Amino acid sequence: MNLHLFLLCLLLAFGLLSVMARSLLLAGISLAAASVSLTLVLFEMNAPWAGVFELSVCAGLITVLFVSTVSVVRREEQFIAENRLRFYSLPFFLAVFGMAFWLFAEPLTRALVPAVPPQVQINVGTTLWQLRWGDLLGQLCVFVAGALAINAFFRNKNNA
Amino acid sequence: MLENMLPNLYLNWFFAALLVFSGIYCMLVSRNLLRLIIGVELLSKAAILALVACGQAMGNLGLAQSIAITMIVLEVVVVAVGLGLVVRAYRQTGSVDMWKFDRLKG
Repeated sequence: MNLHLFLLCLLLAFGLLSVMARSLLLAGISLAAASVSLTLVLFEMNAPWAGVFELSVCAGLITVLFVSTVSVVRREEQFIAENRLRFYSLPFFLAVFGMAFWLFAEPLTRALVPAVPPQVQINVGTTLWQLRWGDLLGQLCVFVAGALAINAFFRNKNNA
Repeated sequence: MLENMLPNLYLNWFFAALLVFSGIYCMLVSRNLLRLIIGVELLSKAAILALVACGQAMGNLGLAQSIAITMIVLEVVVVAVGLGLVVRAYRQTGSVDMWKFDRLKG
């Protein structure tokens, strides 16, 4: 329980750092660290498959994409005059929200989670490949749509 | 079993709610398009945490994990398309400030 709480605090701390960091590169690295923390939380909750996907895709692939994009547009970041006070006041607003939410956490959880007995455990492989194989088809379609969209963004004017 | 798992579920949902708040706050206060994507990422992490926590409490972790995997795949496609749009917009306008995107022509 203590390890779980520590990992959740780590996840929140890196999440906050990614919002509050002035440098976008630091924000991207914090986001990757938050992904690693979430991976550890998922492993601790006996969800290794989701953890492996989170680690490889979110902490790996998305970080590479994000840092590549930051390296393209980084110069411009300094010219956006944003009020930094708004970002630095996030912990205060978060604390107020947290205290308000904690009061409603128990009734909300009881209202949302039906009091039914736990079902029979079915492993991820059986669920994904047999019970919800349609999800895989949907994932494939989303991949193709994303690839086509990115291709459309960077299409050469002469080839259009 | 459900009663035993509920305190853990409160805790996980509490942290998921804090992450949701941080993500929405980031999207509301920033004009930088890349920070908007950071906000979307935080929302996604909160959703994955809440999903797996609920699956663990209900004793159906296999289904929760399979939906989490689907969500991660969707997340990576959304982020990739979003970053592609940012790069394209940057090349077009020379800025990632969303206030500069008020000169769009139909």
